[in-house]
Amino acid sequence: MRRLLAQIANLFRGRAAEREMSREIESHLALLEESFRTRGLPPEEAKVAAHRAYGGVERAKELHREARSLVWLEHIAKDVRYAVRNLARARAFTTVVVLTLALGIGANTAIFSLIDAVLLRSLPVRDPQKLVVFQWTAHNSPNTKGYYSYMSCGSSNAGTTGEHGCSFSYPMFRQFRALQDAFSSVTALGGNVGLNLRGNGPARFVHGELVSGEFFHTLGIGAALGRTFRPADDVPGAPPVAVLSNGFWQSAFGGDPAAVGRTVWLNNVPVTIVGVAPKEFPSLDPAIARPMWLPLSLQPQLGENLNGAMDGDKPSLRAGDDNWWVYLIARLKPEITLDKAQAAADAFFHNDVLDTTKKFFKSGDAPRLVLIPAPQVITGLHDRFSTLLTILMTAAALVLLVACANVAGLMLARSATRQRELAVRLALLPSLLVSASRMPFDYCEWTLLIESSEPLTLNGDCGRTRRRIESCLGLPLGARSLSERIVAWDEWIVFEGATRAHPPAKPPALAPATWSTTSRH
Amino acid sequence: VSEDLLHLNQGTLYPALVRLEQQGRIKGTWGKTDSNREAKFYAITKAGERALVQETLRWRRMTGLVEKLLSEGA
Repeated sequence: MRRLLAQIANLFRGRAAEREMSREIESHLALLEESFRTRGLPPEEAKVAAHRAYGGVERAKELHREARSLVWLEHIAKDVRYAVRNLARARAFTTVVVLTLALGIGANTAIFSLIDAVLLRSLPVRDPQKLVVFQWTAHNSPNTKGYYSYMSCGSSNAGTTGEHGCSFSYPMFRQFRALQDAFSSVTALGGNVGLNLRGNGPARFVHGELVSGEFFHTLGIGAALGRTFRPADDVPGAPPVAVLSNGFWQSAFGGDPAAVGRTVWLNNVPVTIVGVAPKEFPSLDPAIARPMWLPLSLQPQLGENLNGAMDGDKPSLRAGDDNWWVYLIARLKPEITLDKAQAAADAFFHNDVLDTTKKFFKSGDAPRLVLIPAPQVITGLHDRFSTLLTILMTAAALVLLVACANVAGLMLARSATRQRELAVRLALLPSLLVSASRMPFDYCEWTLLIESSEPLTLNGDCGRTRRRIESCLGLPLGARSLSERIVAWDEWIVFEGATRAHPPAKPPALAPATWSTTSRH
Repeated sequence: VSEDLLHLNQGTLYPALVRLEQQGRIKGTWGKTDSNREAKFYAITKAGERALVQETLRWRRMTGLVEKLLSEGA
């Protein structure tokens, strides 16, 4: 543990630690040299002898580095630096590769975020799994005066052949609402009414969704601004109010907070805007954004022009229980299971629809009420776009594949042009073939030596280079060896036939072959 | 000490020294030799002494065991 801390600390004081180590090694070598001299060796030989006794200086340094710090981390950093250096050198190549990959990845990200929003996300309401949609099933359609439907109802869940639907009469809604053992809240959706909006610039045509006063409460949606509906807004004679969707508030009212409290005319009815819904809630079915919501109680005043499939009498709040037109959604009580709630609702429904005075169904029709979790029913986006999105996603994946293939081709072409460079690297460091780019030891010295872009000759005063070579070899070069030629080959430097003045008694840590055999011939 | 039975390059000592110092078993300080040269001197610490006793014990036990096994096998 303590060691790990010390190693981590050394990661950040690399230079200081390096200096300290060099100082220590130098003093060690000096001591050795001195002791050899006192034994009577001439100074030059004492130096060689000291190096011999010490072993490879660079090898020792490398072992020191490994022990003192987390060497693999440093190697990763060096690899990254090497990669960046190489990429910076080939600007055009880098640009092409980055653009290709960016295109491939970008397309995939864009399409996937669409898929995530449309296909994978649930309804934009609080705790959608606790929300249920009411559906009736029977062998025959109910015997009503008017039947109207406008929202998705899902498939029949009862497993019976015959009819199913999600519309009920308004009186039935009131009775379901009273089933407080099963539901914490029930709301009715009455459809979309066409509205002539005045009082906010030029008159325009919008749609408003008629909902019962419990709508926002049932869905668990708060207001972004102002307030949402209260049950008191949805009683006959209550002051007419409306809640705007965030999108419509932005587009028609410019996102002006003062819109809340304003009165506009909808089909000549003065209606007060009381609030704005949050951005996350474009509507219950995210496929169809609603401009605004209005209480069901306004339906007689606003008219009967609802969009949807109509059969028989027009839907109306004034109609009795033989006009089925409201779509019902309930939130289950936390402790109530779907089955229990369904049993309670079904028992009521069964009695009600088979009532001898109403006769919506014959007893042979086997009418049943089914509660379906809302996410399974309200799947407008899913139904509309799933095929399209699947195709798009496949196309985007193919684009990425093509991009990868292109990059692979480029890399291949590039590696062909790098053959010479790699040949030099391998020739210089055959024992380090494992990773020609990252030499496990003598790294700095060798790369500095190899990658220097100016041609070097060691004939003149090249003290630094000479010292580097010496330190790599772990022993001093005699004066003669410096007269050897070093030629520049492309930008890489190759050493030709360098010889050592003092062959070591045993091989230094760095194999001598790496030094002497390189040749371009 | 090893009377040439064990021949190591002196450079290979460093990793061991570094490890020991990081474990807090030895402490190095810079000083001067008799000939007035700069050198780093390593001294054993209290924790190092304790560790030495323990490790020696462990080593003895281990070699003793191996010795016993070998002599019984012969």
